[in-house]
Amino acid sequence: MSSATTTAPESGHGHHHHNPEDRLALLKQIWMFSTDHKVIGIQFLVTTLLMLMVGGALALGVRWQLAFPWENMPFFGLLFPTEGGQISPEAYTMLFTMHATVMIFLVIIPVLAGAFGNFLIPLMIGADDMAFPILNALSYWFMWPAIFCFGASFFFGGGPGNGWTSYPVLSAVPEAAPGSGFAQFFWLMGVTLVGVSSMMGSVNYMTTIINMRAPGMTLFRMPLTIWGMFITAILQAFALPVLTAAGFMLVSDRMLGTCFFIPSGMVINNADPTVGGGQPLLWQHLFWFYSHPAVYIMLLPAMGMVSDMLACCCRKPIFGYKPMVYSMAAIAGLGFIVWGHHMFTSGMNPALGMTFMISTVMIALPSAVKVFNWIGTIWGGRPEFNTVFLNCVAFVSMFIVGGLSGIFMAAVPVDIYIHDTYFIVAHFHYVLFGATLFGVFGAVHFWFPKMFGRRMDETLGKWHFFLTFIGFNGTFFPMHLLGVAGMPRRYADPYLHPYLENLLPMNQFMTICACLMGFAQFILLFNFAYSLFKGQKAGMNPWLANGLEWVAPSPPGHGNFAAVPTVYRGPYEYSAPERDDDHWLQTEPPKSSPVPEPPKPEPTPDSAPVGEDTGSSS
Amino acid sequence: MSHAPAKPAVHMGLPLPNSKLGMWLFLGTEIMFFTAFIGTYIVLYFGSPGWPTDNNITHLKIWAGGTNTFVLLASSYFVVVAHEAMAAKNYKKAWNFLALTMTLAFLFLGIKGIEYKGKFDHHILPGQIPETSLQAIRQVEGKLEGYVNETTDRLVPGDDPVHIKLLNVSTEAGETKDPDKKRQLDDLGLITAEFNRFRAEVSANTLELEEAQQRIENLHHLAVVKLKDGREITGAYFPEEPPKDAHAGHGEAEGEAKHAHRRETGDVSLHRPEVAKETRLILESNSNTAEDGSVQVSHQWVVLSPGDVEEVHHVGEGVEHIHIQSVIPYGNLFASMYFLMTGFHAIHVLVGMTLFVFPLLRGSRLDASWADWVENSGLYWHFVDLVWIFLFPLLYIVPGNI
Amino acid sequence: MSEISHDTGSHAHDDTHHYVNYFLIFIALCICTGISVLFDVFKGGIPKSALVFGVMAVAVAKALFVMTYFMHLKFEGAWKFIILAPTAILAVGLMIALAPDMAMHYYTNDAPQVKWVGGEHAEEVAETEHSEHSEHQHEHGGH
Ligand code: HEM
Ligand SMILES: [Cu+2]
Repeated sequence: MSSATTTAPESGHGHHHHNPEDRLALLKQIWMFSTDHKVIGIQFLVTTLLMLMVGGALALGVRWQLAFPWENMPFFGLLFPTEGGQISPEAYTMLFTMHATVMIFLVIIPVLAGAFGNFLIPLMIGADDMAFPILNALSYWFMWPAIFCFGASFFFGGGPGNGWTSYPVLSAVPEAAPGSGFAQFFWLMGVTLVGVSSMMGSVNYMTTIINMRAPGMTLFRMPLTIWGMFITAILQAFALPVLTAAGFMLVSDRMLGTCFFIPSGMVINNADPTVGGGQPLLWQHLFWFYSHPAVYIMLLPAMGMVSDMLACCCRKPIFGYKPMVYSMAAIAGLGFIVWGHHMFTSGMNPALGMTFMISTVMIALPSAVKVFNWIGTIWGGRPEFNTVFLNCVAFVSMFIVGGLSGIFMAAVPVDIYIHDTYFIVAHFHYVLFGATLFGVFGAVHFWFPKMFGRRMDETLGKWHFFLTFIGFNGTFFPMHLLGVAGMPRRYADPYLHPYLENLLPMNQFMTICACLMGFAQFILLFNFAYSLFKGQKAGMNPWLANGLEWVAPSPPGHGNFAAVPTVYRGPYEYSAPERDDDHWLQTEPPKSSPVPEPPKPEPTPDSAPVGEDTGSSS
Repeated sequence: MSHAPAKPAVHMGLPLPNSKLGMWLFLGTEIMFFTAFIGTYIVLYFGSPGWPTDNNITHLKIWAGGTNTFVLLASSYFVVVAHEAMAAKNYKKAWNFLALTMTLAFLFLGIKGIEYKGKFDHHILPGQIPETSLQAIRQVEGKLEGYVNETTDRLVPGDDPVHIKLLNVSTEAGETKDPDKKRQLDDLGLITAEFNRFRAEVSANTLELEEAQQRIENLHHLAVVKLKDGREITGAYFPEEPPKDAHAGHGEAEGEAKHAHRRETGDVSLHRPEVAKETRLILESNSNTAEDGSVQVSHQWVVLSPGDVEEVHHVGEGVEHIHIQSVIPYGNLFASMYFLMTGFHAIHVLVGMTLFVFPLLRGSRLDASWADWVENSGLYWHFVDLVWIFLFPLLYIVPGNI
Repeated sequence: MSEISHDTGSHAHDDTHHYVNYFLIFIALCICTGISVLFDVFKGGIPKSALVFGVMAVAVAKALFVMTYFMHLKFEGAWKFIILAPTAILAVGLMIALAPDMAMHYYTNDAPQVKWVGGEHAEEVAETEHSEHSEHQHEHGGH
């Protein structure tokens, strides 16, 4: 398992990447049309980290307006010289729409599936690359037209102002939202393009995970990261086409005169009543049929990665591996039948409300199983309080807060009161930022050595973590209180309502915390760039972890492994009592039988006895 | 993937090549894509209080749909044969059958094109179908307004907005030296006057659909007729005998009489009276300004014999393309669904054809390395066929029967 | 399933030994298409629900023919169920879940197509509108 035998990268020189020039060569690859899954993963990572900053800036714009309504906005104000630096209500609407859009479609989904999915899947299952490398590269390069479309939507008619949910009829009739003309079109095209990108990714991941595992890597020896990625890919594959289809319908309602979502006889701006016959609620159904599974797409890979990191940090086997797998599958399955909980107040058929309430409460069960298993993993462990571990603990604890507020909202009577208030905003920021992003921060620190051969700086990492954690809770916890006090989301000036006036100081406090949090992200970026060149050198296995990726060199060369690894056990054999070593690599042959025993045929759902001498396959 | 280390000795996973597994997974996503469309269709169909089902109205052609089903099935069969031939290493045969498939794909698109043309010709287009008589009238009003504005803008020079230019049409006609242009401007003035009268009645809500239809037809026939006796009459000019069935019974003409009035109302009917063969009919309108300033318009039918007419100048030619569209309740939803589903299906046909182009381009160099390609694009093609198998009954046969 | 086990070694594309008379299948498909057109031709003589049931059954039959033979599913392993069963469940489930909300109405969606601020004629138009709708609904069988 010496790194010296690894295949050299395309450039043909340098095997170890231990000097800056090689890392520069690697960095250069980032901008080339590479089909290597690691390069594509890093491309995704860099892109999404930059988009994170963009999305964060947009959020600060929103926060400014809520804390200092109608005061000239710093930086953003420059974009609105006509209003003298003030932002208009339409611009405010655009800010929160684009904040959500950027964060969801350009940060969280691509950083999980695109960046870590790409980098980790082949490494963790012992494959040399993805099943379809060119498709993989395309899935990255489709991000750019999407980014272009979202960017373009800023500049046409004041930007899209329908929220990330883009409900018709507001979004379906160009005259309905003055100035939203082409912006909404570009926005929808952007969503479609990221959809195409995700689609290519997900078919690729599924094929790779099913068909390209190293010998001995049975389904139940796969790390939970892989399970998370696999289930996410399945969710994408079956939910996303519905959104794409709905998106096409909405575009054609706007541009081609169709009326899927436009009812008949609607009068806008005192114009003639529309011809129509469609139903606006249909969009909500189709949209959430994708977007509820999508919130799990935005979580499951992080759940998987955190499970792997926690087990490694605590030097303990993951608590309840199979329940973890089954609960992820249950979340995915149930995730398909709960979408209506976003529509409790939409006027949908009350019979559906009850059904969706029950299924939503049920989905909390597998989520809770996972939480208990993480706690069980930490319990009695010997964690070192490093950046990775801190971020993982933040993941678990913030997910508990977000999950609990979810259960509140799952109850129809409660939700009727808090729907579309800041309580909802608190909920999804606790799960999306509090859980997923802390998980991602942890993962960046954990796999950085594998990506670049160097560790990230611990001190900077801890500063980043604590400032983000404090800023995060300072920003989002008070949102629960605002929501219960009745502050609606998406209002440019809530203080027009006298009953909300007293919430201004709290909003100002939150904005200050948000600025702190935004500032902290620069530490992350700095640490990332700094460690790339100056970080402490890392060997093959800096964390003494068990997974297959740790038997490849850091960074792995083209083709990943010197020889095809053979897998003898699951990835969680930490502190095994029969061993002195506290870790036990998946590839280490059992002592008892020095000759590697042929791995058992794997229990695929396929009834055919696969795994027996299919060596001749192409 | 020549760079790859040696393939694993043990294949974990399914006994399938990656490409085939990937294609099947992709087809799974495609099923969900069309599920969204078909599901939308079904729920909107049931959710709509009505649906246009008469094929004479919707211009759905069962023969076209049925033939296309057959065409796709045949092409599916040819793909299978091509795939078989690939496996049997008979590449010539495979190529031929792929070419046949391709031909049928073109045929499918051709028939689809004929169907689409029928829809376009009858304006069965989403968003453009009036669902009530009021909408039909308002729509034609809008089109006429568009015509008047556009022509005015073109004929009257200057940068003024159209509504100012409109006021200057007659002045311009008086001033221009170019006789051609003068005639155009005069025509425009006449059409505008008719249009304004039409619009006034529309906004007063006094127009029934049938009347409006007659109005528009009269507008199409608007002409300036010079008579032998030197008189000049402007009005809807019908050189031929009106069709007997159309509006028989409305109004009447008194044999040789020059004037025909509708007795009941004292107002003249706009419908053409019945007259003897070989006569010319013209509807003359006169406007009088009443004491209170309001404009009263009266009409009279003038019956002429062919010998009376010296010269006819057709004014209404410019607007002959503007018709009142037939009213189809719920037609827009129908057209939306029809074009959405068949359109996306047609896009899939195009994608499938693109997939076949590559092996076809290999010509005689088609070889075993293309076997996977042919198999997978074949799978895709069968899927395209499957979609049509469901679209055909759902679109052409089921509506109106459930 | 037994076909598969001796198939795994060289699975690539040698399904030729599963001899299928594709031409027969094709003829069967053509007959099916003919039947669905006949349904339409004789629709006067058949109860409407039987007609719908008939054409949809024919469509399903055709789909099964294509999938089983043309797409070789008959000769594939159990993975076909793993991929297709959840897809089918989701596809049907989505439609069923949409039905109570979109297809059946517990409220009226019959918005009169008139200007809300219309003048004195607005009501009149609304009335004609309404009768037009209900008339249509009548001939449609009403659902
Ligand atoms: C215990 C599990 C969960 C339950 C019971 C739950 C429940 C809910 C409910 C009922 C709503 C709708 C509230 C409303 O609009 O009135 C909601 C909104 C939301 N949830 Fe969750 N949720 C859970 C977990 C998650 C997770 C894990 C994520 C993401 C990773 C998430 C992301 C969101 C988002 C983004 C929204 C708001 C969407 C919007 O309206 O813009 N939820 N959740
Ligand atoms: Cu949800």
